[in-house]
Amino acid sequence: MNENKNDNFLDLAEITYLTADNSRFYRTANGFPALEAVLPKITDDLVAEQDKTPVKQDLGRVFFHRCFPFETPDEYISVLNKDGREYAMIRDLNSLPAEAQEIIRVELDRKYLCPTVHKIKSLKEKLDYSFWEVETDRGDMTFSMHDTYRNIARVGGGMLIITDVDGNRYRIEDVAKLDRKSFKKIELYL
Amino acid sequence: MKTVYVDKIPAVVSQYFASESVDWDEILIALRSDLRADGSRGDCFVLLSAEAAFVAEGIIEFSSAGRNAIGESVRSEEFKVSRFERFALSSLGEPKAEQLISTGRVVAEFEGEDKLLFNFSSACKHGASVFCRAVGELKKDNKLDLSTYGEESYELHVCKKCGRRYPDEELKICPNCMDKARLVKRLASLFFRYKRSIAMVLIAFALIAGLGVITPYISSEKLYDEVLANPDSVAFDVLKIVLLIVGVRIAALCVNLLSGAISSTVAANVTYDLKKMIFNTISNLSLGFFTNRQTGGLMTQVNSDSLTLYWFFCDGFPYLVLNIVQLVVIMCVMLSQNLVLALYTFVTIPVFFLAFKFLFNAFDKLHAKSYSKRRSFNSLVSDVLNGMRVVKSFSREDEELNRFGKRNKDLAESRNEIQTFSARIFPFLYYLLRIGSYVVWGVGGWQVMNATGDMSYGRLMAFIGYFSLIYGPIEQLADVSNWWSETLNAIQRLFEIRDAQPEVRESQSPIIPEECKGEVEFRDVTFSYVENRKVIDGVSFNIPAGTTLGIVGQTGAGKSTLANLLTRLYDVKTGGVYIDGVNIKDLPFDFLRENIAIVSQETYLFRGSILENIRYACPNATREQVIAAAKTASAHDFIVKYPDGYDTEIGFGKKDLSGGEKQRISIARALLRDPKILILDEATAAMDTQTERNIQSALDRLTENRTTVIIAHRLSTLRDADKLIAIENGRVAESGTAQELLKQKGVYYKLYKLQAEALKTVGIGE
Repeated sequence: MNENKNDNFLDLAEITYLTADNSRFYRTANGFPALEAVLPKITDDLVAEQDKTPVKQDLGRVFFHRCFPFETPDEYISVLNKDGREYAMIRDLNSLPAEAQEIIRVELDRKYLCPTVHKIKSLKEKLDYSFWEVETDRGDMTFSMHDTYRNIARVGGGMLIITDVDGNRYRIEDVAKLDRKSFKKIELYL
Repeated sequence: MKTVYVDKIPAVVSQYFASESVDWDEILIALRSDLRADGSRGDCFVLLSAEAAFVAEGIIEFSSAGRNAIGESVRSEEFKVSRFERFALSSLGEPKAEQLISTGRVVAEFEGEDKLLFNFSSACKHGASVFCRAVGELKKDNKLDLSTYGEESYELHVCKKCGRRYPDEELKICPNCMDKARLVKRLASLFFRYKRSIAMVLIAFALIAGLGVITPYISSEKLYDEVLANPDSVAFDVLKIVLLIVGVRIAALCVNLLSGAISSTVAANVTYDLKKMIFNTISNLSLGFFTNRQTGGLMTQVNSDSLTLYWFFCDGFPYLVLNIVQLVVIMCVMLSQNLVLALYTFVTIPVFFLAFKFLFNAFDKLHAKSYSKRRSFNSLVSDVLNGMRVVKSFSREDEELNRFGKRNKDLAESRNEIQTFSARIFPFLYYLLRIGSYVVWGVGGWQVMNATGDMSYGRLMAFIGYFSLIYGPIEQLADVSNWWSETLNAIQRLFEIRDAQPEVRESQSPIIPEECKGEVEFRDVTFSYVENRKVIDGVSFNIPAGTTLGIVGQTGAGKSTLANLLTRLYDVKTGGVYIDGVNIKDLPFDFLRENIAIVSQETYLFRGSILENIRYACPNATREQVIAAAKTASAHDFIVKYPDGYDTEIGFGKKDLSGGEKQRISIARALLRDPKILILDEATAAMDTQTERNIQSALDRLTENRTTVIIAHRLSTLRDADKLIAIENGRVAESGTAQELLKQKGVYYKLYKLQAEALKTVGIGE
């Protein structure tokens, strides 16, 4: 009974998924991801009667947004136009053709660019600001944080997202897997 | 032409651009970014002239180039370029800063296709927004008024000492170069007002220290050597000594009480001064400051910080001074009495000092851990209690209980850890302490037996007394450094708020108009709350004095932002808002507040009676005026139904009003002010249509001589507006009278049709 209810709900929401059959991703002349797909035309919200028959259309440059960036970065990716309106969703990136995957991954990597911290070399607190020296997958970095306790977010499991004073993000994949010295430095803020 | 340097451009990069035949005299704006086109870190420099934009990226490499004539090592710099591009503005579209998750990129149409100009990380987002704004202006006007970019020069935004950008634009404080001495000096200036009391406290300390040292002298040396060791002594001599001891103790107690009373008064006064000062600053800060921080947290922070300060100056600082004085006095006495023995004793002091320091550091960590556990425990409890309605309606009590149990256990464990630690370590430490006294016993005893070093039994006893007096101060001194750094943090945070510069500042030489006619004009206004996310984009409209303007648009289109800009809760980024032809930036705050009243969608009523709330903006209004305002706002009827009428207490934990009732009271509050310009921002959204109608017809009579701005998504709210504008994505999509807009068949027409159809379905339409 419960299941039935949920199914009903899924139907009502009408999520459109992009598959290998109804979509083709390509790159624009300047390297931005673009999409040609068979989809219902995006119409004005304000028109009461909406035509929902799918048509083949070249949508040009498209934008991506992960629905669950931390837990399932490759699943449920929203494909949007430049104003942030959704064309459709990708249920699982791995189910798309290799070429499309490559195009999308490059763009996602760029959008979600975030150094991963392997080691904390130094963490000093001075007058409510903390100064960090870390080793990341993109080389050594230094940054400073304000209100340190609040700007370290634990997202699912042991992953930490650290936001510095400028709004740049750094990621720690699994805080429990940090080396002992690094862990001791960050422990107080958890 | 003077180039505006948004960031510092190194000499070698300037040379590079010159070698690429870029004429620096033509350059209007120069900035730096830290990401390359492929997203890797590097150095990216962007120049803008009236004709073109130049982007060069690569890496600046430093290498040692030997030593110069006087032997200093010379570093040579080289700019290794990986990409250089020139974009003629004529073939470039208006650039847009696309904000990604923690970085961004500037993209513009170039020869018909979107093209990446440069990437930037959040540290450089401001430069990117300046670039976009400048190119936009150049494309529109073909020239750039550099005087409006004067504030962008990097020199105003970086620390003068270390060259780093200030982390907070509003505070302009470099935490790295923040001078602790200066902090303490500023704090001292607060205490200086109470210098007489402080002098008395210090004198009292000297007395206490002196009396403390006398006690062992009397109770040991005088008692043993002069009385007990003397065969001629009588019982009266013993009594004399005892009375002396009691006298000294009582004197010390009195001085102690006195100094305690004085120092706590001073500390209380200073924290009072500080809080007053901070609350004054806070009320003057612009709204942006509060939305950046959690306001609730802000006040708790101020409170707990001033409490930290209070306790430090009540408890910590006096004892710190006292301990130092006492330690010095005792050490002097010991040295003068028996040099050799004193030196033996002192050897152990550094050991104890370090042991205590280690111990307190360990304790601090444990306490911090337990504190953060307690915080998460408390937040869970308050979260669940506030959301009890939701918990119950989804019957999630068991899950919440589990979560509660887990955090409760964590908290208990962290507490336990502290207890175990102290139970283990303290006996050990006190045993260590004993060793020190064994040394005194041993060496001193040997000296007494051999009568070397002028040692007597009484003097040895006094010595042991002194020795035990040393440890108290040492223990406290070891602890005080942590306490001190915590207090410094608190002081810093307090002064940080004190120093914050409001974003919205009153003009130094305001134009004071004689009266307000109420004409409002928005000229090409753009605004964004967050860098690179425009909420209002080039909005212009005009409201003639005494007319009503309706603003429609979807949620998030920027309607309320327009109200915020008109009341100057925020300042426009470019363009201007004018009242009677005067830019509101040139008008005094008083004038604005007096002539503009806003009823916003988030109503806030203060704790107090309904009367007080209505009278909030004009405390001198008569009761009759209050009732008239309430009647106009359709609030009178429900107010008189309450047992206490207008004296009904409302607010947290008192009478809870419904959304519509709150709105009516805030409308009454605004009406009582009788402003020239009235803004109703979804002010009637929570009311039923009937009540809304009543208020509107009352307002109609009132709005005759008043400029009114009505913001709504329900079109019926707007039916009396003289003119309407529809806002879409921060732009004015269309404007005109309701009839005109219907004919245009644009946004308004569609909204109208939708709402009319909604009525039709329930059978009310024609």
